[in-house]
Amino acid sequence: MSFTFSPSKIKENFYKVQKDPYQALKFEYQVTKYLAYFIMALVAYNIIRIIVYYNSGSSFGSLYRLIIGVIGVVILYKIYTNVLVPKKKMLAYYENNPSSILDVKPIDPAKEVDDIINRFDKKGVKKQ
Amino acid sequence: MAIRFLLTLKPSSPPHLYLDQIKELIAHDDELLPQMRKCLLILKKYKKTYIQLPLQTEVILIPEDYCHIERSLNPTFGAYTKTKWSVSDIESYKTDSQNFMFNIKRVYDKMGYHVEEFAFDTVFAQELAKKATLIE
Repeated sequence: MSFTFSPSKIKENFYKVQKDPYQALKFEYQVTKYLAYFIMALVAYNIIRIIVYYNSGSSFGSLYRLIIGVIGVVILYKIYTNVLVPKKKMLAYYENNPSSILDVKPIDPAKEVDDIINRFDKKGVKKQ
Repeated sequence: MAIRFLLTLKPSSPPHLYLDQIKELIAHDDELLPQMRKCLLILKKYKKTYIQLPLQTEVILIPEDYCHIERSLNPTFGAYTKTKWSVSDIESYKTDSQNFMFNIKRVYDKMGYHVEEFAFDTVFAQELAKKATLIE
């Protein structure tokens, strides 16, 4: 298992993730990937158990097993496409545009946000 | 007539926007939208210096109802969200609608999007707007 950052340098990694969009996405993808694979394995295991141990006295037993199998595959496909594919696409975009990866700016977020918000009053209208 | 903008991130543009770029974008604005204020406060709270942008997004302007709806198309296929225009936006649209559209396109261009403009069926757009989540 390879992580983007070493888990021993938690504080350093935390600041890195806050400031660098590419590294943040890469880290998020790694964490999500293992979590999604774990959930997918659990779902697959339970679906297989249901199919194998399904007791049916009727002649439609095979049909029920097939339906449960199809539902299981759809669930796994949905988890994969909704959780992992969007992040993969974003990472691919960054990797195809190396200039975006290098574009990391040292900004003080508190100062920048205060600068913007202080120009407007509480109703959001620009101060004179 | 409703107008649909299809925004595709230019290959040369990064899919994120830093706080100083946001500051530059809204430098000449007379109003700060409540959702932008919330977004900025979240960035401040979590000490994040950027917001992530979708690779492709869709914006439909419905001048008849003085609102617009938008959703992300890529990488995730999102649901529509609706934003009502402010009084100054409505006035600016009524005064010079062409200039209003030009300003919208200019903002998206500055964000790094390639803008394609299409005419859109107003009745269908209004139906979509009814189902969309209102952002306040």
